[in-house]
Amino acid sequence: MTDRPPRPQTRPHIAPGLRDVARPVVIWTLHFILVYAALSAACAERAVASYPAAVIAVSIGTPVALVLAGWGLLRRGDQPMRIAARVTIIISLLAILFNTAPVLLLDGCR
Amino acid sequence: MIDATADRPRQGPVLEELRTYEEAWATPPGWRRLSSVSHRVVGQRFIVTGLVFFLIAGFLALLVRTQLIVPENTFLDAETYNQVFTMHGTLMMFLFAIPILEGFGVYLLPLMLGARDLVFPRLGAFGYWCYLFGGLIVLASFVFDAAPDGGWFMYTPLSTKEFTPGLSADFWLIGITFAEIASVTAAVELIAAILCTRAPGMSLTKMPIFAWYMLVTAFMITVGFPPLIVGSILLEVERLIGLPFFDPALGGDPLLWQHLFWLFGHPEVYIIFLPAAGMVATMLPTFVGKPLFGYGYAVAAVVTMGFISFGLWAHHMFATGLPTITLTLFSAASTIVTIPTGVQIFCFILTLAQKRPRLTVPMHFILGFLFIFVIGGLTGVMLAAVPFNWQAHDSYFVVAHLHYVLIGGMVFPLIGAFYYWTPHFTGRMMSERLGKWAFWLMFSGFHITFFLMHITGLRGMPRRISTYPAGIGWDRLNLLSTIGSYILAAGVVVFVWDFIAHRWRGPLAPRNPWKAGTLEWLYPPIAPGHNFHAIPRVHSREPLWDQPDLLENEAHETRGLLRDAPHGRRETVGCHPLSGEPLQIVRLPHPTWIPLLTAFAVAVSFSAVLASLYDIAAAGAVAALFGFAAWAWEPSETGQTITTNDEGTLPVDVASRLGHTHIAIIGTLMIMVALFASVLFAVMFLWNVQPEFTRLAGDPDLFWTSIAVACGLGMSLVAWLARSAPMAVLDLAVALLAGVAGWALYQAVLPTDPMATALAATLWVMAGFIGTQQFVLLYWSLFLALRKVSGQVAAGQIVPEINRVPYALVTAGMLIAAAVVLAAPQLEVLK
Repeated sequence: MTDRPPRPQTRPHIAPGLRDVARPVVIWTLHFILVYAALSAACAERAVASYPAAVIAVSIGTPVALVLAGWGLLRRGDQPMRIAARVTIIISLLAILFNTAPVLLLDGCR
Repeated sequence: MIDATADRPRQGPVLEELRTYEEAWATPPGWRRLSSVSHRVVGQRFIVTGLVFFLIAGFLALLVRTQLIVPENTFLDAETYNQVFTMHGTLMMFLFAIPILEGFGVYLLPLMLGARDLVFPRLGAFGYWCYLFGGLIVLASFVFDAAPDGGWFMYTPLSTKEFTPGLSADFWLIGITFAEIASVTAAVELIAAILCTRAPGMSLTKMPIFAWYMLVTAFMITVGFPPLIVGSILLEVERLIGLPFFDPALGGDPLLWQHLFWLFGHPEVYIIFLPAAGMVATMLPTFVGKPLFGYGYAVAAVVTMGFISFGLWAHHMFATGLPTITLTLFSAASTIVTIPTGVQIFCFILTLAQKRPRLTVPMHFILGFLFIFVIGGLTGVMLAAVPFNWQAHDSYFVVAHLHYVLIGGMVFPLIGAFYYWTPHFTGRMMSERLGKWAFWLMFSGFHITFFLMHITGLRGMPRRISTYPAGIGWDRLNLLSTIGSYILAAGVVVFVWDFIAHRWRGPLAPRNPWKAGTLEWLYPPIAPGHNFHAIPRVHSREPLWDQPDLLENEAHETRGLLRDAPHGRRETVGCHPLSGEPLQIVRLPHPTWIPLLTAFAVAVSFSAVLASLYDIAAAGAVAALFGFAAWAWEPSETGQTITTNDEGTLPVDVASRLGHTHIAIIGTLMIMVALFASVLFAVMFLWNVQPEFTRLAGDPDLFWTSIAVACGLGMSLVAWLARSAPMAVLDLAVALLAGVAGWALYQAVLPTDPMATALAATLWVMAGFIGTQQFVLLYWSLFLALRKVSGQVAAGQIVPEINRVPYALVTAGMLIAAAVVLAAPQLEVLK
């Protein structure tokens, strides 16, 4: 019995793994918003941006997103949170490529 | 404790030597039970009410099928038919599926996590009453012969005043919006409970998998429900006072409703599926006798589904004329979501592969779930492809798909969960024999009904038609589908009968009847009101398997936290959100009528709007404000300490950003930000698709806009200072600045005419939303000042001040975003 409670760790050991679980899907979300915004800017009535500008924005944003989401993929460990992080990263990388595919493969809004 | 001589299940054990302590946790008897705020009582209320709505909605489905049994049938006229299928979908989606799953979460999570109650019991009770009253408002439409008939998605322009002139759409919009309060309050409560009240040692990776599913679901609700709330408010405002949000002639767009609805509607499918899958992930290891295969994979799959499911909304809009490239983006996202779904299914299959499972009734329903849901998932992939979707759009193929996903993915696991956890509710086992009858009737009836609908749809039968001509290839398929629906209904009747009759016929449930590994089975059914006399330290995800001492001794003799702190107050252990180590003691409220009375006041307010009695609506809102104040008036207990024995001394209601109230505020702010983002989406959408209406309604006043921003920033600064120096004068300063910021924002939008264009109307809504945020801060700050002046607050009791800071900062951020939106058109001209 102690007089004081065990002091909670300020950075519990699972925190990095948890961060690696959350980060890739947050990056995917931002990338999805970028692609959707670029297409909306190029393809809606207001035509805020040209279609090539949208393609350029997505082309620049995608490698950045891939690097940010993929960071930590090769980190070793078989803790549940590490496994979860690795799977989340792989799914998010695929999902980012899927977001990008229409912009790179199709030519124009229609 | 089970009294064998009486052959009746008893709640307990009730320790006579700790009478004050036991009485503090007892549920009030008789009609005073309505004042109970215990998670066990509230959870059961949600479950039973949800079940009643399910039966009503199921009966309506039988009416639909009976109408379609033969061609050119006259059993229901077209108008009644529209009402029946609309109410069927509405009740199932809004008043059955989500509330009943949240009910299971509310009931089970504290028991699984090692907590004596949820952290905000009154919030849970308030949410339940909102759900009940909202549901009654929707049902009351039948009484007034004004049942909604525009489909469960209430598409505009059909649902606008011009095409639906009566009150039917208003019943839907007001009732559903009210009932949704329950969903968002439960979400905040579950987030705080899962993150802040776990047993010692239960880090996030040792948390039961069901808690992961519910945590992700709760976060999804905080983000997913606000778009529908905003959409419903816009549509109701258009119907009430004519603001033209959806009127193309004034710069509105009916597609705005579809975007907002499906921004909610698609994630909702996952919000329904994930808790049910979490139940499967909990029950399956019990019957296999092995832990879930791939816990980490399952967690990854759930988290990624929670995000990616928000990127699919427009796949419900493939036939609305969106640009092809946009359709392709949503098609890609709809395809990719199958990967995390598949990961989960493989976790289940590989768990099954570890050992031959015991074929109990819950296990039957789990296998049924796997079989049906996989088929629904595959047809979902087909519908994700744009060309096929165009072919099958609005046909019975889609009806078949959605029922495979929702009945397979949610109803089958749910019925299995009833058989699994009912002993916890009632102390008795449901019948294995009747359960298997229920399963086979439901399973066969389901496939006869819905598998054939794939063919009916591919043969071209559209949804929502009240009848059809003979001889075009639909007759026999519809006849068989209807017969199947009766068989399915017979299965449900058998289940319901068993659920009712087992209370007097079922055998008494032994301790841990399924030999499960999770903590909710520590006590023999029915567990005592406090759930745990002592909260044990947990070393694994299946503590009842891996810590044999927990089941070797009587449950009330278990060693753990709070064992030696029995007194007349309700409390549980608060933990670090990540590590699960004890951080504080969370004081919990005792039974109270305030949640019921406050929800009733809100119900009066909503109902009065429906009846156009605006004075009464205002009175109801004021009464609700008083209710919330009475709710929060209790003295703060921060600064006290409790000796917990094993873990030493812990502080009560710690003033920290890791505290449960702060986590709840973060959850609440997620809802607020999602609401604001939904309004912002509406502004941007209309600005983008109707450019010629941008400045027709007049320009906002930028001087007043800048005053609003300055006051908002000042308000945040003072709120931040008040955290370090809690003084009434600073609270008054925050209130004053919040009030001035709100007034300045009103002055800023005053030059624009909201009736002139849809864009101007959405700007007013944006200002109104931020004004509401300012009002909350004003009310909150005046309340805190009053508490200080009246001597309710001691030194160091700064939890509300800590919590007010992020609220003020986020509100200031909204003001800045609003200022950019208001100034943008004028700056564009300068360019």
